[in-house]
Amino acid sequence: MTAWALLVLFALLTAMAHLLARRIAARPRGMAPFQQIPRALGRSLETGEPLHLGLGAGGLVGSEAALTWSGVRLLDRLADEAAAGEVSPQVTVADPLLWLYAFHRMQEAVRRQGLPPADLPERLLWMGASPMAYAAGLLLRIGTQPATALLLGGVFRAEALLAGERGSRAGMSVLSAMPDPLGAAALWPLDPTLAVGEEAFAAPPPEATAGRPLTALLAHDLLRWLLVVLLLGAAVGLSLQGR
Amino acid sequence: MVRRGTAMAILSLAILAALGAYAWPDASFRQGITELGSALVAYAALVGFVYFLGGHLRRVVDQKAGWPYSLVALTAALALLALSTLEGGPHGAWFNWIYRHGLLPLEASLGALLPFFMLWALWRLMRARRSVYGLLFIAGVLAALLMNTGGTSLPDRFGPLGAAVLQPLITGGVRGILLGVAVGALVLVVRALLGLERPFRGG
Repeated sequence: MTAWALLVLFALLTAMAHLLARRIAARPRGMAPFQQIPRALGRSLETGEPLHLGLGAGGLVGSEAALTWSGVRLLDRLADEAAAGEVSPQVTVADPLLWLYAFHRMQEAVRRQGLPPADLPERLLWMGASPMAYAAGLLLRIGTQPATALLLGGVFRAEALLAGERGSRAGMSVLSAMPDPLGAAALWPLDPTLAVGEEAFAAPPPEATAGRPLTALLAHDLLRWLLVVLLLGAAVGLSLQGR
Repeated sequence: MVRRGTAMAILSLAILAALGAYAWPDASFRQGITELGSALVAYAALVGFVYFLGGHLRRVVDQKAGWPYSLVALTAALALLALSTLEGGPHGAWFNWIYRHGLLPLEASLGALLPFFMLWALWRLMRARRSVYGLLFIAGVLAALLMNTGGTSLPDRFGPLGAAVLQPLITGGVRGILLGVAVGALVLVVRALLGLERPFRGG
């Protein structure tokens, strides 16, 4: 019963935030990593070197599915535009189901441009089934294959630093969106403007205008403030009840 | 159309599996959904493994850059597959021995590099731009290193350092971020359910 009440409450809050986000004149804030994606893409098309997208050690089924999905939105953002310039991104995953989805997504992007999907197995790699094995594979890949930028999204923890540092030393721009606080803490020295927590879910969809502020973030902010008010109210109420 | 329908069905299954614990007290129904999901993952793993082998085999045959790594990966994967088959599953004695004395030490060694990478990254950060946040971060990292190497001989006037700093500040901050993650995930799911988000973009 409590769980249902919570779900209904969350749904109401979400709907309210979405409605308010359309009416409020406040300018939504932008997220530096997502705003830099068009520039990284442009550089990739100019140089002919791909972007490298690390989708982390999580999968699409299980408790970490939502976190992984935040990284998948980056793939959605990149796949079509990169394929249009005939420079498909390099994508590394650690989960077979995510591998299948990424393969399908990249194949679709290439097919839409009328190009043969010949080198997709070279572009999409299953690196390892555990976080450290994945990090080791990612390190090796970054060290041997040139790329203009390293984008890290999805489930990463402290091992994200290994990949980020290697990419940074190889001269790549490191852009990251880390829902997990451990991954965010590890990557902060490399990219202090990285997207942390719920910000990682606000990657703009492919059809969004490049560089435009994200309204999804406004919805998140509103929800967060509503939750803060609810928590404070509950704390005050419980304190008064205890007296 | 069919592909999109299939994809949406998979998404619905994932949502059902997530909500199952709340919505259906009947354990057998929840078990059924979970087993269906597990079968899907097993099939995906098989397809992924075959592609993994095929990709590395192609690299070795074509002698592309870094092909010796592919040869090692291919040999190790096939050897472990053969061993697992001979021992009747991945819980055999030899398989466990390789896992315990091969994979785990390798992962631990890689993990042991993390503090050095962190210090190197911090040094580069402070060289590039000095800020209050950078100093705070360095203080945090040094505190964590000190606490994980046997503590400090500083006076213990306000209680243990871990209890004074870690509990109220860091745990609180992390919980705040996790609350935000829950909000982000919920917004994503609600947007998907309302059709505002198209998680599976079919052709």
